[in-house]
Amino acid sequence: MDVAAELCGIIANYKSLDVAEVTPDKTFEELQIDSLDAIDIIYEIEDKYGIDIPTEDLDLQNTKTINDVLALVARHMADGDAGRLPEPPVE
Amino acid sequence: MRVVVTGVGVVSALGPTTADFRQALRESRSGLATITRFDTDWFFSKVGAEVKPMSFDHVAGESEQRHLDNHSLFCLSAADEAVRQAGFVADEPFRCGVFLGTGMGPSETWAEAYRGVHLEQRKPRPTTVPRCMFNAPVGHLSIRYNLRGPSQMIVTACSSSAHAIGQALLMIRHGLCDAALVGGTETFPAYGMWAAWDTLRVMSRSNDAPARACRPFAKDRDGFVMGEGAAVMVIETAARAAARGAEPLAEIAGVGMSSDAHHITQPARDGFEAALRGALADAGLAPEDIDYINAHGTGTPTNDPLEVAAIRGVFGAHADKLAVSSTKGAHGHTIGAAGAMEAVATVLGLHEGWVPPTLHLDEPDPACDLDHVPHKMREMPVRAALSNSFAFGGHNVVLAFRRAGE
Repeated sequence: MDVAAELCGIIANYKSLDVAEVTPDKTFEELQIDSLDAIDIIYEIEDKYGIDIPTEDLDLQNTKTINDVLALVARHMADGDAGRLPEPPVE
Repeated sequence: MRVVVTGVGVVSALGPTTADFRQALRESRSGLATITRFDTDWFFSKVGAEVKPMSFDHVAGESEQRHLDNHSLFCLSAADEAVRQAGFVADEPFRCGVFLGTGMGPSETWAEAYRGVHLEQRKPRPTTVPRCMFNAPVGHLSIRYNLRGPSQMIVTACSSSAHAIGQALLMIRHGLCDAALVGGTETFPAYGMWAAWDTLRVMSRSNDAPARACRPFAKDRDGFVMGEGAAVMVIETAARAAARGAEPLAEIAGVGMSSDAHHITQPARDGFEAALRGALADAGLAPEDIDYINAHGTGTPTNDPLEVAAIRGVFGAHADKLAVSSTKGAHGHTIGAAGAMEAVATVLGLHEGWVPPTLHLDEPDPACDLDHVPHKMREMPVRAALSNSFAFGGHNVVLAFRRAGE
């Protein structure tokens, strides 16, 4: 699984860009990804990989390139059941 | 100070543009039809005035459209039309405002979030928040057109956008801005909310004849028909319009507002009358100056005769000289957009010299005995006109318009 290529694909799709334009070294600024876009893209990534990136790990000020996102995702790939709410209590 | 309308835009069940809206009103076409958006098998009412699928590529890129509910997209499209017609540019951004109304907000986005959480235990995406804000369309118009004066979303059910237009007029007169985008936007209630309206039993059950399900003032009327869409107008001081050579379509001459303080859903005649009198007084118009009233005219058993009685109470003998039509038989009841959509119908008539018809009025209710312009529009000069909006909650607004240059 080439996670870098997949992330580029997610972002290209999100911003309606040609996938060839989106490479891991591209900055959010170059791709015109603002903080609202970024948090929405993180949501899509969490959903795709079934991971849960804790808010304390999400340093958007210092997440400037797709490579930064890749590093963030790689650290959490081992987590299992994220992006889902806890089971509702059984009455 | 005179305030004029220099541009209008409408998205409705009659089509995606003002030209569609105008043409349908002139040709007596109804936009009411059997609902296609969701399964209505288990509902009493199966008729609606839905906006047909339309492109929004002219107002938002593919990526941006994903962040916008139709609540904002309808409004952006109507505003685009109004701004183009007016040739409007916010050349003094802090002197330009935006005032909109909505009733139930972006209900589909709310519903999607709840469906995901409750049925699939799936977290909503973060952009659900800016997407489902009732005030999102106000923010988007402000950003799009660099409107940096006062901005508000007003929520008073069926009077929302009439309130917004009135509020803008008062703000301009009070010196807080010189120009504003005004109007309203509404999307069809989401499935669950539709179900609630259905059990309230105020919507028409004429499911076998959907195109004529809303029959204002008719003896056999059986309720309103829910609609959706947006209407936006550019309004500005007459001086500002003149200075930039913009043609006024009509003058927005006054507003009357009142509250019933009576019942959360039942209207009160004296509340209607107070708003009608207020609009005339604010505009400096006598009852005899009015040629046309665009009625609230929902087609519910309760509203229509009460509205007629209120008009008779205020206009006396002149009531029989008025043309009083309801356009809801064509575009449905668009709740938070209704006041603005009907204001546009009124402005078009003032500007061009015609009044829109009340559709499907074969046999009037004996208690609705004004000249309701049945079936066919009428070419006639209109010197001044009123547009009525009355809402659940007891919020009444009447807008007064005068022919430009009158």
